[in-house]
Amino acid sequence: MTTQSSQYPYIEVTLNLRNLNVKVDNLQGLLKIWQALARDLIGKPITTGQRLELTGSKGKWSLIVLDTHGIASIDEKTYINVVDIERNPQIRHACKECKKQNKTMFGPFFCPECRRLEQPDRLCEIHTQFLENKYTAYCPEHLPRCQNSKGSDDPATFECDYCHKTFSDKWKHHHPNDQFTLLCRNCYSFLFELCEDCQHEGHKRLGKSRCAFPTGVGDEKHGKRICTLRHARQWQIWGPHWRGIILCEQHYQQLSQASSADLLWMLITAKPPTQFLRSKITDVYRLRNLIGYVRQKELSWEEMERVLRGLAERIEQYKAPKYVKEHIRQITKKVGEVQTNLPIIEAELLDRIRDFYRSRLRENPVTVVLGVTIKKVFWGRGNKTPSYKIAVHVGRDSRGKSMKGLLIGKKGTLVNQLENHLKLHAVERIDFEE
Amino acid sequence: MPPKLGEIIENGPSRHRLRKGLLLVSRDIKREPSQDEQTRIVTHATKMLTGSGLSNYKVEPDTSHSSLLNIITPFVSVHTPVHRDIFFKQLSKVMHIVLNSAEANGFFSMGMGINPFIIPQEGQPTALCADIHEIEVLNDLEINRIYNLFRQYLPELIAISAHSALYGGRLQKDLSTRMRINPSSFTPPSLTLFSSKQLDRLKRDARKNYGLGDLAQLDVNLTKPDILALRFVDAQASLRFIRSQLLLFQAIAIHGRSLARQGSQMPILHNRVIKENKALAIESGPGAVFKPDSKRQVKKATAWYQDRKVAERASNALLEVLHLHTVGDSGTILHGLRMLKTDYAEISPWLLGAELRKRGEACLVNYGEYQKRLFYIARNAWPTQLQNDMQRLVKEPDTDFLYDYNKEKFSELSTQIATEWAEKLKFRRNTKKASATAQTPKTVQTPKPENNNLSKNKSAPSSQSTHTPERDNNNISENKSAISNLFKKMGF
Repeated sequence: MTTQSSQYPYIEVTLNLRNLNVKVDNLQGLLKIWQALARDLIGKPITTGQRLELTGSKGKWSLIVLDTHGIASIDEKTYINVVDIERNPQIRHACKECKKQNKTMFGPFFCPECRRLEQPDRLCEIHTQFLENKYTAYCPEHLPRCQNSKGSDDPATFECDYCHKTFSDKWKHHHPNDQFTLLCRNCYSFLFELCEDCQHEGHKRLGKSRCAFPTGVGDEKHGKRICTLRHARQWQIWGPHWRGIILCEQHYQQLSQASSADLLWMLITAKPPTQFLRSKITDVYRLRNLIGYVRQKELSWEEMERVLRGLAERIEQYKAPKYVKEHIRQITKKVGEVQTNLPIIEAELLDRIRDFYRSRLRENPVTVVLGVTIKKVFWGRGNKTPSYKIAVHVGRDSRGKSMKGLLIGKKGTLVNQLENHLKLHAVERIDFEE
Repeated sequence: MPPKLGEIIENGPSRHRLRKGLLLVSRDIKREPSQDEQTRIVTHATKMLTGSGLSNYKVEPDTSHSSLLNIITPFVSVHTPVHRDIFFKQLSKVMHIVLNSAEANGFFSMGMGINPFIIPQEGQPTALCADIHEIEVLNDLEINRIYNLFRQYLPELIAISAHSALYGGRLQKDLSTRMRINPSSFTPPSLTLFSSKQLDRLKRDARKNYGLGDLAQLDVNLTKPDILALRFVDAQASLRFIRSQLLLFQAIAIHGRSLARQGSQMPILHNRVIKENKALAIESGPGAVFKPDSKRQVKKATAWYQDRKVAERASNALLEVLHLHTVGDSGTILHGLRMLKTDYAEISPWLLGAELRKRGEACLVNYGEYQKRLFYIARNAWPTQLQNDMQRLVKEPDTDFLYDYNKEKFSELSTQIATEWAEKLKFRRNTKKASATAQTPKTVQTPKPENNNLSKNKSAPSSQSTHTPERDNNNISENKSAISNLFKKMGF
């Protein structure tokens, strides 16, 4: 151990000036503080490794005695060698919230949203808000909101580790085997809840599917948990090879009695299984045909328009996803166009069909061909013009007998000629209806 | 009248604690101790320590393996060579006591990353022995910067710390087999934000993004309050080598501290590159050729190999790191070494080797290479030789085989390097020119009494002294303008 002469005794310390009220970043400041505060040190007993906490007029400060060099207590003649001065850092990134209160505090965190908007983004510990399971800091303004389906606007408290959406506390569930993994109610129920029907039967099977039949409130669905293996039923709206809309046994049975609004809602909100099927959502003929097929009754364009208007009102009442709004807007627009254009095309086709039969039949074509309805419009991939499937309404003769046979001709010769004739006008298929 | 201020260092070192790992092997090097034997050795050593007045040092059995012991030192200040002398003298005594206790029970203790003689039976854990350096850091911002610095220089530091090339009687392909097979070693991820109050969030984040369940398993552990623990160092045998490592770690901490206090952030080095270089360092130690991070973006490129975007040998990379200005206006690690009043002899154990390697000489830089050399030179006699060497290092704490070997083999070059480094490490307080003072570390030197052994330069310059013992404190105000001018130049 080195010895110090009794005339010039000294100790070695580390100073901690972080909690002082005054800023210390130069020697003069340090000396002033020293003059003001160091008097409290006189007479203090010291030992190596001791931490001395002191409070003066300038605030709290402390020192760690690294080596006393044999000195038992500090007196006026003691020299204090400072090995390190712990002080607050130069503030290059001040907290934006503290700045508003005319304070300067270092902001170790930043709000990603503010950064994106190229606004001041730094935040101190006090003004930072976190989601429970994320290390991303947010300013109070940009704290994510709860994204639950009820459309409430509560501040979010956690991010679901499965769907990565943010939710408030009332939606929080812990993973059964891992307390650090947080799940929202929907994901928890998707991952861990059992099939309700299987439970009634005394089996335990995960209910990975949920009945998608709408309740009519917001975008709420029936949501009954059903196992994919035994109790889930499908409304195969994407064709036979793709997974359709999942329904429980009860709703599947009652699908034909369901209201047009519910059916249309399911069709519009259904998630297409692949990218290329996405455009089919807004295909108004497809929607109309699907509903007509299920209900075994054709949906008129007027009714469809009325239903769409109702759905548009419904989505205004809650925070619907953007894509749903967009789909409804597009479909409504298309229905409007169809209602305007379709009678014109139908009239043109009717004229052509009547012209065709005029030279081939003895009867007046006006009495035989009563009208034409476009059943379906096809938009092939990349095609700019549509193709039609039409229904020709056939009249009856004076004896009440159908004149369908006249129009078809012997062994279908006439109808084949008619198909070829109309192909130029994009008619793909002709059905004769009485 | 308040007590007077003496020497002031703006950014200085903090206290240091070492958890020195020791490996127990039977004298016939054929078996490891049982748990009872381990406890017996620890009890014996603890009694001896109390009797020798070293009760503030603890010897504890390692719970992970019966052949491991830890010497836990108190938190000590290592800011001057004298304090370090005292610390290492005490540590040497403790190691000697532990060796005696082990010998009394038919074993011997040695500092080595892994047991070089025995391979454990199948299903049994391998004894992994580490020196854990704990640096006291009292502020979150400083923890953040120092952690990031250690993270960034992890491959370089592992390269000089590798000391487990021999395992189970065979030479391994890695210089640090301990690090290779250690299941609880994880490369620290970059931390741009850190708050000790948000540690739980950080744990969740690390778990989620890096698959790391326990942050304490990071190579640089920041979960202990006010402590940064370095877990990547293989247990070393030579106290001189440990001292040189300690100085390097403290100098890096000083550098990080100064970065934090000036509010500087450092450019990020990608984890992928650090992981890759770490693996190379584990395999080849100082001979590894590190790869640059091609995607690293810096505002101002330095001469560091990561900025030059060229591959570099590990030992050269470490030398580059010492002189590197991490950000434009920051100091260097060399600066930190000067703050610690480092003598060349203190850091020579690894520094001489690195400098010689840079000059293309076939020298030794770490103890992993020493083990490798011994294996080839001594042939079948290496176990006995190694055992004797390890015991000699405990009994003669001033011995360092690396330094001795390098110096003996390259005496002229060694002298030249010593002169160069003595000049580099010089605490330039005797410089009279004002321009030169601007380059010196930011300290204010008080003239010391004549018998002050702490300061090697006994005569301090009058130009830099703030106040002298002869002066009254009232005179300070008269010199205020002179002082402020001086410190403006020094950037204080």
